[in-house]
Amino acid sequence: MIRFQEVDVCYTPDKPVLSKINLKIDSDSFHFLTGTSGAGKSSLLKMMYLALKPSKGHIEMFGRDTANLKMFEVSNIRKRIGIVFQDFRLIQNLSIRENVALPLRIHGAKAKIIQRHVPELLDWVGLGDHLDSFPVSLSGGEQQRVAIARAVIARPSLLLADEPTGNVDDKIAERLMYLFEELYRAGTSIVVATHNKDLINEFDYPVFHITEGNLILQ
Amino acid sequence: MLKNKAANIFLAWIILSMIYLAVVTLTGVLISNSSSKEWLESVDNVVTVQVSDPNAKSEVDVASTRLETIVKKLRITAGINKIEIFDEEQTLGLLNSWLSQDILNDINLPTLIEVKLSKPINKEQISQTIGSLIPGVSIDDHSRWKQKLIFLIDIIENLGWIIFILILIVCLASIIFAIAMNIANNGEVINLIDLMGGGSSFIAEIFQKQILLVIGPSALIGSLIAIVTLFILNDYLVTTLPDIFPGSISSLGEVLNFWEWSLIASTPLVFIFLSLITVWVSVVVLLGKLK
Repeated sequence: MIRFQEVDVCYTPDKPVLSKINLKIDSDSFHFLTGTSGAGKSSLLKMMYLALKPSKGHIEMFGRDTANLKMFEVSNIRKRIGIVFQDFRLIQNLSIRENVALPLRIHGAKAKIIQRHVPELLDWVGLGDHLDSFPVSLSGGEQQRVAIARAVIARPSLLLADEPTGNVDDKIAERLMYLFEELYRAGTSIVVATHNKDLINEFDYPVFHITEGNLILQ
Repeated sequence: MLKNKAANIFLAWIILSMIYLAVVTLTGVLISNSSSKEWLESVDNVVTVQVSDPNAKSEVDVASTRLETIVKKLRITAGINKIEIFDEEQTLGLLNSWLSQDILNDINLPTLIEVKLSKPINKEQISQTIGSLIPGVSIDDHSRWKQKLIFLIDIIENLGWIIFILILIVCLASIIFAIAMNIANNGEVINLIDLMGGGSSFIAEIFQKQILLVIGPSALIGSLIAIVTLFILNDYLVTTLPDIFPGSISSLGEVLNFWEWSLIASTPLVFIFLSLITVWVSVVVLLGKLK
């Protein structure tokens, strides 16, 4: 599903943030991604959702070399990826229901399906009573759950989550991880970037660790 | 989803006023075209015969005057519908605006005969029939000044069309600027949608819906106000200048035919359609440049 070959990322010349990254993520897999702040976790995830081009090396996504993709091909690949951003990135002037419905609208889902699925999922993440609220009225943890609901609503083939449990308590974090596991069992590949060691210890999945620009599979 | 209330209000007013001007201009062009065509058709089959020394003895019939001889001949000529002889007072009335009274007193006025033909003019045939009969009779089919008038009408009409097209271009340019402003102001949301796989087409659709809500009502209201204005103006002109604008309040409705009214009514719709295409293209192009 994802294949990185000798990938370098440099923001300043000759100082690679990531160096000679070789990575292979198969379908139906679950990985954690760890590393200290500034280690390059977000850069690695950005390359996976095609928001960052590597300075060197090759990236394959869903069997396609990403070097010379056309705009519509990039969009088609991104439609298969769900992203949970560290800063949530909810659209402030849309209700929670509309925020979560956005990926379905992008996929061209019918209104009937949107009306059925969105409340179901929001109910599942514990926000069933906030359908018509706006992001500003929610706490950080609630916004995080909305962001996760939005990322998974369209049943992506790959879910990339950047610190998805960073703003929620342990109970909610665990619940969210069960949601990720459920998606994983349903066939979605998951990559979760996190600092939360308890979570990593509790859920026994392989860990990619970034240290000094290198990626190590633990 | 996309925030830009201030720019949209500004755009709404621009479109309303521009479509107002466009509809007024288009209606002006169509009225000018329709009226001039009708008027030219009405004078197309008319010739004016000028008879000098009308009361002198006829060269071909001693019992008649020159005028009587010509009138007799015209009455038996095929293809002539109506003959109207202008008396001296009518002739003076025609010349009053152009010549002073002193000059008019000094010259021998010819008698004018307006001849209405049943078919398009054949000046040569009439000239031969009458000119060969009585010397010193001239026939004028008005082609000289008619050509100049047609040229002038064409210039006015073309100018009207140019103004109409320029107004539409200004409208579309305003939309492009509004789109550019919207993209700049909503960069984060657009970037998010892009990362979710909503490519340029999906974003362009969002813009189209938003712009349609702004320009749709503006274009329709602008057109409606323009048509109301034209009827009020028509009524005013008919009332205050009845000699120049004869008719009633409904005359504007009668001057233009069904197709011309359809063209006027379709102006806002065509504009909305063009705007949506402009929105689509400008969003796709601008986003393409950003990537």
